[in-house]
Amino acid sequence: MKIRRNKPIIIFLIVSGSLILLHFVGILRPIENFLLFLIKPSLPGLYRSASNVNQIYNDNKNSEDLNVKVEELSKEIARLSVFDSRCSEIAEENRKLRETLNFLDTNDFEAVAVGVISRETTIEDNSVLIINQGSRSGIYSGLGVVNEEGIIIGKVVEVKDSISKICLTTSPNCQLAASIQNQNKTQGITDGDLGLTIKMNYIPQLEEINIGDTVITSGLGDNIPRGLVIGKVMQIQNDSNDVWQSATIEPLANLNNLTVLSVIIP
Amino acid sequence: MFKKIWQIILFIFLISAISIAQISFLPALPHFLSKINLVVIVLMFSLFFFNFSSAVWVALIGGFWLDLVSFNFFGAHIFILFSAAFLTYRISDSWLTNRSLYSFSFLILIATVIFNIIREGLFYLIADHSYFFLFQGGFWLDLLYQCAWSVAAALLMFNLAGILTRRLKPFFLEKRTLYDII
Repeated sequence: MKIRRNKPIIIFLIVSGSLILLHFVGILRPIENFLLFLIKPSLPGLYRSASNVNQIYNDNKNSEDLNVKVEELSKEIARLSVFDSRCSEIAEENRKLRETLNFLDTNDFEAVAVGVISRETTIEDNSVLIINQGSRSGIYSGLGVVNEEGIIIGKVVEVKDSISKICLTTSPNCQLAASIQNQNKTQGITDGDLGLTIKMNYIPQLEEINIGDTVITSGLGDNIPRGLVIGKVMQIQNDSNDVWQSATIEPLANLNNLTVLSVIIP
Repeated sequence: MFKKIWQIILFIFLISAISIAQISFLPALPHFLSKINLVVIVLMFSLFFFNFSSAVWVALIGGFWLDLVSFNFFGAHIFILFSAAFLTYRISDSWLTNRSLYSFSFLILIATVIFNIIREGLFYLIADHSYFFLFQGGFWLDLLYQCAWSVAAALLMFNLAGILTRRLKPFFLEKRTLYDII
């Protein structure tokens, strides 16, 4: 009678115990990979469709701010057009110099295109994404991840055979070696702040940084190349009594609607 | 025999589809919608409308899919879902005497709370987090959202099940005298 009553528990213990044992021994791995292979094509599509719903919801929510934003962006476009023409000249000059000196192209790295398949929820923030490529595609821990515009949005933290986990730049403990594009090329390390912004700490008081300065990767990290844009300085915390100053950086990419990314392999 | 096999395949397929939606679809929805915990809702549905044995299978299949895509240790979600099912089953067995909408809502609410406390407690222990989840506002806010969705799902499913099955129909014992029977 007692055995009959406990039958589901016994079944659970046997099945779950076998699954866990076979997983850790490695026998289950081909089956796991096969199942992931079966469902993987549908996951990015599912994630993208939900992300579109999210985008529509956010657009409607923020419709009142749109007019102000359009005005701001018009001014920004005008400013960037002037900047762009200047950059084109510099780029042309740079190309000629490179050809002359026979330098390698600076963007000499491979990129693996990946799709986001899930977002892992943590209490502190929502800043962990699961992507649909893993160690089989040459991805390993520490690599930088960029969006379609080439802005770095995070880095790979854990890898399985066919999926990987990436932390976003706004996630606490997601650190990147960074450099501010000012006169002194101030170096530092960025860290996520509550899943909303990025913080750059331990900047010496003597360094001059300004609101609006662009922050890029410094290339001092082992696996992330120099020059990938992280964001712009939004706020500076500067107390004359402190040894260090810190800066709050606004990420340039919209981290809520990431669907297609690239992992940079140096 | 074939009908039984077909039912088993359909059951596995349905639970797998729900788990995949939980993995890839729900997390990308707007914040308040992303808190729907479909797997726990289905777990409680199977416990309430069927039996503990089917809930165990939901925990095994759903937990397996969640563990497959998770970077926590393998078996964590299987264990968490089973614990939620087992504790809720014990509570329903000991305290609840009828199959009403209130008892279903209560069970689904209890399961949601148990699932979240065990999940966060377990990950707090193994992942070496610097914060304790019970002191985090985010934990309680997420729990509140999940509970609200779970109760809404309970209302919906109970009414749907009322239309589709006879299990929830009330029955009355008619008091008859010997004279009536004769």
